[in-house]
Amino acid sequence: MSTSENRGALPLGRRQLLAAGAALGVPGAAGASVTATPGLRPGKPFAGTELKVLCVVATQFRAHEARLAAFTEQTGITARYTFVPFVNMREALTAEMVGGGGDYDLVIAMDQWVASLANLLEPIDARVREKNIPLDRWPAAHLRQGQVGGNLLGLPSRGHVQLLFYRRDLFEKHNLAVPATWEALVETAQAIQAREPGMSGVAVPYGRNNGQNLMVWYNFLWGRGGALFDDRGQPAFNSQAGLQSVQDYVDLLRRHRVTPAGAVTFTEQDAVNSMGQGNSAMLPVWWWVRATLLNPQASRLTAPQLGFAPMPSYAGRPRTTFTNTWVWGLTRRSRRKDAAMELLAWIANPALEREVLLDPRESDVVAVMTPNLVDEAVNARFGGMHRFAAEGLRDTQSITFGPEWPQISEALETAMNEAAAGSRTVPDAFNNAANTVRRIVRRG
Amino acid sequence: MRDRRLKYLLILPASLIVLGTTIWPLAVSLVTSFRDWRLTRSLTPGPFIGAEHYLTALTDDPDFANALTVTAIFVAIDVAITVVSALGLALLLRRAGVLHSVTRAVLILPFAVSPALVGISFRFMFNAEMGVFTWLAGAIMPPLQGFVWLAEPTAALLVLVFSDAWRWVPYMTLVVLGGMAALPKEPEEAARIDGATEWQVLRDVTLPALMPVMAVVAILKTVFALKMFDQVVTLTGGGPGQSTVTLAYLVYSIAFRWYDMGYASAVAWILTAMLMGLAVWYTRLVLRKASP
Repeated sequence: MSTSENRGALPLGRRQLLAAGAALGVPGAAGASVTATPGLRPGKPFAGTELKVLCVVATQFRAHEARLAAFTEQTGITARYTFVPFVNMREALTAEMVGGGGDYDLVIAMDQWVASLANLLEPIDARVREKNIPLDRWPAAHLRQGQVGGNLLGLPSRGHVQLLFYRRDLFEKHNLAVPATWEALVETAQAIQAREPGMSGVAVPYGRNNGQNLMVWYNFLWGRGGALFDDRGQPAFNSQAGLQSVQDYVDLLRRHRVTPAGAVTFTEQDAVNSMGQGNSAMLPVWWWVRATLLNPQASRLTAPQLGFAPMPSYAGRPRTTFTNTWVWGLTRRSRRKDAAMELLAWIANPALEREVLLDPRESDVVAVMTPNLVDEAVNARFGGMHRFAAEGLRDTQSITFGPEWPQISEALETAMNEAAAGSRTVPDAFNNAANTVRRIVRRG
Repeated sequence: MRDRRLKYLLILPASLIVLGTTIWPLAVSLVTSFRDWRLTRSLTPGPFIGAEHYLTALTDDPDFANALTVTAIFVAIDVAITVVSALGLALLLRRAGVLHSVTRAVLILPFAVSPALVGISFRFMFNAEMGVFTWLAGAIMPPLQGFVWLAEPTAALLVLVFSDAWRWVPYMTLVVLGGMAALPKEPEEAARIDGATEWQVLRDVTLPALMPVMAVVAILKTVFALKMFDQVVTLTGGGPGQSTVTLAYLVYSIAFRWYDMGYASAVAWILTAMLMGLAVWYTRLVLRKASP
């Protein structure tokens, strides 16, 4: 855990931003969030208040923090960000929930945890209405992840869609088409392995780690017409379609052998490393990984080598993407909720998101607001990636994460890992998981 | 009289610290283990439900049964390997000499490495594509070339044992060496004069005399093995499947991933009861050894 100390450098950052916005030909891009955040209370009624913010480590939020001087200028409020690495974030939120000290006014939480954290987060429907923050600025797939039991507990700020990254240079060298279906993905992967000895066709994770081995599989499940749960909330993932989708996903490793052999223990980061180190030719993963794959300290790839496309699907089926959404929420025990809502309104301003996206010093692709996903300048900078994201978000299904989801997810990831390792057959592993999930649901 | 009061006064600060940091949290968790407290429902502990959590764990929770089995197997193999290896190394290093002294000094280094770091290092070393142990095993035994150690339940558990033994064996070797140094030389010399072979001396003289030390080593190692957590997190993540989920890791999962504080406290107390039993056994053994 670390508290950022960057606030002293803010005025310079702001000038640079204005210059960058001007250089990019984006009139008002930087100025919009600096001078005109809609919904802020006039007269700076909370001047002098210091807010405490619990935040996951992400370049996007570092960029927000670096712009806090603009927020302070408009409201007189200061904010102290505490950054926590992703792997420790859930524990940090749990500690905040158990400790009950009201240490933080604003916290960020991943969609899968939101229902479990309902006792930590304050419903903000009325506050959002009061601020006239239009909810249609977020795609429904992101927005619903902040809603629990009809209450809005958080506003999306960081959201991911999945894309298929591929080695453009190798595809051009061997005259291969980017696969649009899972069947084509297997054929393409086999073709690459035949022509590039030592290279694996596609890197996907099958190891246990926060449900990461499920995230690509959900697209197989939806593509097969399956679902995780039926209308009564009982397990449906072990239906015929569900089991076939698991078999298809596991077959990449066990039957077609187009993944690295070690993929059975891979976390998502291992899969990304495999692609980044030149050991795999394709990688279905979150879009934010682009920054990692082009980071010379973490990857051998360069921009011309890296292509991306929407996630494949089954022939004749719509393309889907699993989404991952982080939402900002006010804590119930905060003693500065009104001031914290000012900061939330500032963060929820599309102009701030656009400003960070177009900042030449930043490389984070992440955007959650529809105006920015279809923005010409944003798409020009990232090669149309955001348009793909908007398309995927429009058609995708999503999972309703109940309070028991973390436990259910663990049962599913265990089953997937067992099926991938071969210690259980797919039906055995997932029927067993269904029994476990029924017990979890029954216990409530 | 004044001396007696002073005695209590002097131990008061330490007692208060132990009370506040150990006894009080233990007492709270014991009370919590009899209450229904899921953070997904309430920020404060719910009603008392008697021994329901304990009954659930012992009769109706496959995860607990699995973790108990995994922990038992892990402890048995880990303790056996550690005790035998420590004894073997101690016998090798028993003799005086510069090389032996340097080796004895170096032995403490693995114990200085944090267990979480040990797990991360072993994860790299058993990586299927670039792991040095994976490569070495394949070079020595060609059928093991490309074997994914962390993907096979038994192999993953053995890797976990290996990582723990790597850290503990050197330290336990030093403990056994200390025990050997305290042994009188005369019985061994007398046995040799009587014509006993080195093996007979070891089996009939040294080992029986060393048994109290070996018992302490075994009990201590059992206590530490029962608490195995760090390497599970960083090396195997509990996988493949649930084949390396230990009791300590299960407690963490129940509390911090599934938010069931009442049930987590109950499982933690079952683990604590085992540890307390061993601690009592260990204390009695040490006291018996110390008494004339």
